[in-house]
Amino acid sequence: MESTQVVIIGGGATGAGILWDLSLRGIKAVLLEQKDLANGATGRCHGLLHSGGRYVVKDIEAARECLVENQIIKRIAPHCVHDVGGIFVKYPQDDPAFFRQWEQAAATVGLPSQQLSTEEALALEPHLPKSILGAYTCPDAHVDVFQLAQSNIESAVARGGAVKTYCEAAGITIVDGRVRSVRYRDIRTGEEADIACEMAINASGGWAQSVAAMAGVDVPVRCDKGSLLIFNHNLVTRVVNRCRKPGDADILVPAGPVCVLGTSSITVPSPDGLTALPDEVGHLLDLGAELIPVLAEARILRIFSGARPLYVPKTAGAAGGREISRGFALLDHDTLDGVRGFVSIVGGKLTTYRMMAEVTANLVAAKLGVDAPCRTADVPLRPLPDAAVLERARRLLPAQAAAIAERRLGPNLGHIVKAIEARPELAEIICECEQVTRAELEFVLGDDNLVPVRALTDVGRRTRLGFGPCQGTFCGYKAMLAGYRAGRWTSAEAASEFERYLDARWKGQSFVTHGKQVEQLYLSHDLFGVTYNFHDQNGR
Amino acid sequence: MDSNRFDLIVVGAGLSGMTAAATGAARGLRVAQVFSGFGMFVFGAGSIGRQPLSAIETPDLRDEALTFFREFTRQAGCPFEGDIDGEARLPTVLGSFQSVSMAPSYVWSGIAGTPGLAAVVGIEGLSSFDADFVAERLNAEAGRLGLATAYTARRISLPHEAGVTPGTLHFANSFDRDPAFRAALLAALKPIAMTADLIIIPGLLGQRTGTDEIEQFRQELGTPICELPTLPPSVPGLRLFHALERRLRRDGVEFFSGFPVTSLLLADGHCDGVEIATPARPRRLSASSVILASGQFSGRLLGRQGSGFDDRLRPLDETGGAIGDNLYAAGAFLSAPGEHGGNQRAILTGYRAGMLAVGQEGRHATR
Amino acid sequence: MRHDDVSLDNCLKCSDCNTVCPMLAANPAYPGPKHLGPELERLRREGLPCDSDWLEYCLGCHRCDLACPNQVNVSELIAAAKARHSKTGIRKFRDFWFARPALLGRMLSIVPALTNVLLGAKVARFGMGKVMKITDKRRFPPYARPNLDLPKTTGGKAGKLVFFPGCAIRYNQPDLAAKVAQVLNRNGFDTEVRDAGCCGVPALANGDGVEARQRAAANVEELSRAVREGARIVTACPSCGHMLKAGMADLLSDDPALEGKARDVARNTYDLAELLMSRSDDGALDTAFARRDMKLAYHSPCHQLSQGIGRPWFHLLRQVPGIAIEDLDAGCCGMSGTFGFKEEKYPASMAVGQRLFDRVAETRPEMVVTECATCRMQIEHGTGVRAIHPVEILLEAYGQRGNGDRHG
Repeated sequence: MESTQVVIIGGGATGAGILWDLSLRGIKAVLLEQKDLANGATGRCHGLLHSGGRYVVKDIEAARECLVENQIIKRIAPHCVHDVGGIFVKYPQDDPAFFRQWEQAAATVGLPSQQLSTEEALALEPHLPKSILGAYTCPDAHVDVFQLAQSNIESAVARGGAVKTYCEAAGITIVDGRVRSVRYRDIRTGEEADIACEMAINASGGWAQSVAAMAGVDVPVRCDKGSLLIFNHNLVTRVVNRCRKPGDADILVPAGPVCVLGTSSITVPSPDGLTALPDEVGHLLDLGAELIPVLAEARILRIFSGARPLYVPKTAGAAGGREISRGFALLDHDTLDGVRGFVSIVGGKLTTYRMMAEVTANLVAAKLGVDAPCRTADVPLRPLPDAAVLERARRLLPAQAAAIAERRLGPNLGHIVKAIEARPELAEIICECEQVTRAELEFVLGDDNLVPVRALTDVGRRTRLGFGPCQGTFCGYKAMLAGYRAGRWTSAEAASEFERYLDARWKGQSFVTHGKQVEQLYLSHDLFGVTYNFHDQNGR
Repeated sequence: MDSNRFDLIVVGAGLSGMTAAATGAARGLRVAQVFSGFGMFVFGAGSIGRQPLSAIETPDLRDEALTFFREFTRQAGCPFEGDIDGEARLPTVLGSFQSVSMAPSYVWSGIAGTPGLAAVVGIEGLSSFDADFVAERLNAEAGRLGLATAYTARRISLPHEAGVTPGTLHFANSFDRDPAFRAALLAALKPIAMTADLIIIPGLLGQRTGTDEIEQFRQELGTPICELPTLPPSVPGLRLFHALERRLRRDGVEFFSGFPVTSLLLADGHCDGVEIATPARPRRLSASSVILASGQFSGRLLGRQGSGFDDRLRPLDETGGAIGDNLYAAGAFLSAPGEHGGNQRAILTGYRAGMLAVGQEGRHATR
Repeated sequence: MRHDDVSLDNCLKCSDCNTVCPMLAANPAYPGPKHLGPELERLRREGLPCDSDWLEYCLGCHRCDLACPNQVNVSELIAAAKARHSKTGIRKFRDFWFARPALLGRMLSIVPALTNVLLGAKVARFGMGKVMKITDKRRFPPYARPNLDLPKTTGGKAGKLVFFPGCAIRYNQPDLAAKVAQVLNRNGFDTEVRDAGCCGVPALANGDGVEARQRAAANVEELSRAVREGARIVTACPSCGHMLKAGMADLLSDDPALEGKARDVARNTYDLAELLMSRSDDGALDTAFARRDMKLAYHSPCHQLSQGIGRPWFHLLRQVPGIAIEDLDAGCCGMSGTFGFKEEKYPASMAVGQRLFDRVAETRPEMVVTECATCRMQIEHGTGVRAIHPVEILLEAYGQRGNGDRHG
């Protein structure tokens, strides 16, 4: 039986952060993820690295945590962060008392902020409505959530951590009140196996309750669905927040070439099978148009939904649970439920994932008797590519492709550069919307990639391939062929990978009911469905 | 002659619009064709699959329309082969088989089923086509379907500019412009032709080259050659478009390309023509009949998706009356939302709309 | 939403634009309109450093715009990016002059005889070609005194026209102005010449957005005065016509008042043949043509196609008895104004034109007719067949000759 010290269940930012933290302390760990990395709430949010501005009025502790972590993440993961800055805009329809509260609270927290006049704000963001009353700046940023999760894993794997994607936890074996092993099922092969361990960490977000149940304990989690709209191109250059009590559709984040508006907030019974409702689209768009009027006409690429996992302790005292802040909670099931070697980390938000990992790893290290401090706030997640490699990349690739590769690939850029130097045809751009080269595609499909791709849909999370306007209609096919060429899939597997891939891409667009994306979807359906006799699983 | 006055305006230049324009022009109408882009031609090869007849189509109409279409495409130098009552299987770049009844000759040559060896030929550097993948899948599919054709993958090198990743469009442009490229392609395929009964290549034999020249190329090769439509732009489809366009120009059809129709000139239940968004001033074209053949989204011109059609292909308003007594629909617009129009319907309804514009109902009147 | 935002969002990546791009067809290394336009524009908006070398190879033919099924103004996205990208060194100096043909024309036509001797000789002889990176394969067009005095006419029943001559007619072929006026006069129009210099197309083509805007602003002021006085504007150069109709308002979109005036001017601007065709449609065209037995080939300039006026010259000349005219329909000539003069772009320019040259050779016409001056230069250069403005044929068919003969 495979064995390790710690099994982490959940491959979101938190689980990935824990794996990295433990690996830095020299603790052996294996991470199990039921699908691909960042498949849950991590991959289904704005990608906003909060400055804390959103919480200053309502929750000053959360705001402080965000501000601290904002600065840490910018330092340790510069390749994941687009430090675009943000503004809180004062709209005439909102409560002026809140503006004053915000200003005072921001000062109390020490949030670096400047006041902008209407003219100054409009000069920065011409798409804001002319009626605004001004704005405050803040150090919000966009963070590439897929890169963030992946970088944590890669760094951890380089230090002995292990990861298994598409492996869901199937059971937790407890003997004499103590965790002995975790059973997992590979959902692509159906095979099951056990990993012997001293401790298991439940970092499964929205799934925390069902994972905890495997250990016979209850972790009450409520799933709050938030849907977001992705627009085809950047309409703002910095994060635009509405300066009011947090509500629906009041944040627009420029996320690489696109921008993301969200969210709604609806309680759902489960984090599985989330779909946006037609009403939600209209609701988001109506509110979005108050934020930035042109959103009403802008092209929506797709709609996606995530579930915020909210921890809802049954009683205020949470049965002795150590409540760290209102943002997240670390539950030691030894003291809470008498199950030794089992802890859950629940709630929280993307911006504070590292802090959540830190407190979890602190507890785990203490229990394992490992006396090593947390170093994740200081050790860079992935070093940036060195100047010589960058220079070579710029010679080999178009300017925009080199700039994107630098940001997206970090130290892996060296692999790409070497590959293209050896075989110049690898400089081919496969996904033109997101400037993904064949070399990058082959890299993520190949064995040098520390976080292997198993499904064609994973390629997008690694590279952004298929995230542009065509939504994979044209590049998805080439990526499938590349996977076949690389020996990742047989021809039959590749064909069914492609079918699943198109289905997933089509699903996110099918909720767009107006405008150009409808035509784009028809085009894709006609091309593959009719011309190539391909039938999607929805029977269209 | 008034340069803005026509007997018939056809909006759209897909298979239905082209057929409608040809039908009108063949009977002496002065036709204007208003369109933007190449529609579905850029995604396929114009192959026709068998479809059940809808309520507005009859067997007589089908026979008459397809007879006309065969003659039209033959005259355009892009003859269709096959038979609408037959069903053949054509390979696709996904390695699947597409069920087809009629197709342009350079595609039709690829029908599966005859015993023999078909060589799927990949081209060095052309990343959007993988011969091994296609041949493997086709063999698996052929086995499943009990087809006797065996597929094998081969690979050739073709001259292309250094440092450029070639696409099928690059090769097609070279085929159109450069005799040396044609010679190189022929030389590369010849050895394969010696050992195979059929050559299957990604579509690249020129977007403007005439079928005669392709036929000549094929004669020199000595083995049938079939082109597969690739990811857009699909060269065989574009070739069909340009051939049909050239033919229609010779028949006096005036093309207005690139200026969207902004409105139909409707008054008192009659459509006087269309307004197109030309720079500076919109241009008004008037006609005795107008055919809407601009695809699934044509309803936008009517301000909605329409309330159905009468048996003379006329879009209806909310009260059930024809929006224009001389305004007809053809092609995918006639299909329900989400339903694929299909090329058979495009041709049948294009022909019928053209005949209605001519003022002839003929035997093919609705059942 | 701004016009270019909508345009950007409309792209479905179908590649129709790439299939019609003359530069892509002739030069496989050219990334094509889809990539340089909407694809890169998303990344340019993101603020990424983007490849700009190829932008200069866009011919500005607008064929991509016309092929797009979704009304993406592909070439406008490229032109705007070109205007933002800065050049250095001698090419910057050269393109400064190429962007300002009126300024160049004013200087060179002070002593036309001397200029023509100097330019008529192969440019390279002075080293100018090498230094300025201007190809030594071409000859410069001859320069003439910009004498555009037209015979004064009044009382025309068809209305008052202001003829916008453009730089090619003003500085290189001023006799055409009189020919245009004579043909118009026979058809009931009174014509006077007015402009405020170059239309701005060369500036835009050479990536000089500031100069293009200035040109547009000056011309809009001048021409909107004429429109207020009840005149219509007529052009005989398709590029000027395209700019007046479709370009100026966008260039001036930062100034709503000027933009409004630009739209007024656009609404009242006509291509010469468009105007004559509308007379023909009304049955009012003077068709007292003398028989002219000749075999002509007609080439549609790109900027004439982009005006959406069909092929009026082709139809007009067919009305002249004896004329056999064939539409070459062979795409862009590749000259694109000053593009073909640039040393580094000369091969690309000729490669683009090859399809047209081949068609001319196949057709074997006595002459090619086409309304664009630089298309004529390219056709003569590429085929050796004489190319003239179609108005000359029409005037001869009226049994008249222009006031001055063609130079060179």
